[in-house]
Amino acid sequence: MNARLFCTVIGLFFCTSLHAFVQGWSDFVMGAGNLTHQAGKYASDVGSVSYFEFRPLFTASYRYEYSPEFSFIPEVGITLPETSDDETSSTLYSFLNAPIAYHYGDWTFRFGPGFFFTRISGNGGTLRLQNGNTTDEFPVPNGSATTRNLTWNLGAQTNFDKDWSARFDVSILKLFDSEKRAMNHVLTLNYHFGSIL
Amino acid sequence: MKKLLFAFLFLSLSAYSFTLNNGAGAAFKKDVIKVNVAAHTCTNIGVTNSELLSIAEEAVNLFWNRVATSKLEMIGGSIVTVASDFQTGQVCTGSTSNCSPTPALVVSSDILISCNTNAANYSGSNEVLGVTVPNNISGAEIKGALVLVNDQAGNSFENKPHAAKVSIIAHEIGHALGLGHSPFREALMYAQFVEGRDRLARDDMNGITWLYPEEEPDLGICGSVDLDGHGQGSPLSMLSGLLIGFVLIVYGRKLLPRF
Ligand SMILES: [Zn+2]
Repeated sequence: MNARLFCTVIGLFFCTSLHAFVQGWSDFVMGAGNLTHQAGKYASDVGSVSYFEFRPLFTASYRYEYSPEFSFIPEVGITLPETSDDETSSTLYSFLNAPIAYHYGDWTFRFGPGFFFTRISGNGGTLRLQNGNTTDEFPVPNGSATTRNLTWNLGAQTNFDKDWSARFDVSILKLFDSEKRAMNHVLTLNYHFGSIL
Repeated sequence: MKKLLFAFLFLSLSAYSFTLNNGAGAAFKKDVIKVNVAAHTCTNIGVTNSELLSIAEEAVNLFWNRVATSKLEMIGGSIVTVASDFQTGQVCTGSTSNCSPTPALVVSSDILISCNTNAANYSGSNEVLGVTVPNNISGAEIKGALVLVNDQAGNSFENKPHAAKVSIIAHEIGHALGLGHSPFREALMYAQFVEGRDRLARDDMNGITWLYPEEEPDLGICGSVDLDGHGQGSPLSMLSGLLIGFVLIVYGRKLLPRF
């Protein structure tokens, strides 16, 4: 997909979302689960990678219905902050997704763009670490940095009954960059306050 | 300013998190950072200048150019002729943790890799593979950084396999970008060389993300015209999408039954 098509999709998406929004929501959903950040992308040990990591995640979404088959389901998600062993820095992940969903039986499939945010905060100060054949004080970052990535998300949800569902979502960062491209995945158990379908 | 030494020996430490190499949290501010190699002949590192340049290109492509949450973009530069001080001089005076850059070795822009034979740069030890000093810092901006590869006879770099040389140069480039050492053994920025590294660890990614955070969408893509002519998007694309969306809202129910 080239950038021109990408921009067209974003524009198209914005309008259809607005359309769904003015129609009013038909479901409110709270979820809890797990986020794996950049699965298989970084070394969990020298020479090895991991495709799953434990990281608690909480989500909330509304469902706006276009038709019995199609919905628009904007969603926010946030992880618990992860603090380094010595509490000098912490990382927090959050996202805003805006997928179009297709309902089929007890299944809902979703696809759409989103934003993924990474916040890395440091408390300042220094750490004593090895440097050559001696040790040295190294500055710890002071302050926080927040990054924003456009994502493309694809997910499948299965409904257990009127109130409960489970969902698996894949989120691609840097879709058009073969070196930077990365994949997050999310697994959640959800409670539906409104109409599940 | 700090002199950063990369060692072959072992010393164990407990786990903390990534660090920086200067208190200002300085980073390069330019969009694309080049890695150049000094033209003088290296005697003891086992590779030619052009091989060293291609090792540097591999290092940035295998490690630093792969972080989705960072805007960092690095490329291989060229082989550049520099003063002989870069081959024989001392990178800084004073202690390792409080080094004053030698003016003759200040790098005017980007990153320069140079082999160097001055024992004082490596604390007199051949186990120290290299030393890096971002020796041209202005406020929170790194303008230039120098990577010296230990070119003394009997150095530990010469007989390393190709992949190891790539990871060693990538580690030094990490310092040039503004990072200090990491306490995690799986991290590229760990203070010691470890065989078998082929990618960054989370700690390296966090460090480079903190220094070079990505902020998408880039305004050049959908919203505005890119003046450099490098943009691939067009404001017309966004407009056409909005137009199609508008048509769908107004006529959607007639055009697409049940939509
Ligand atoms: Zn180092």
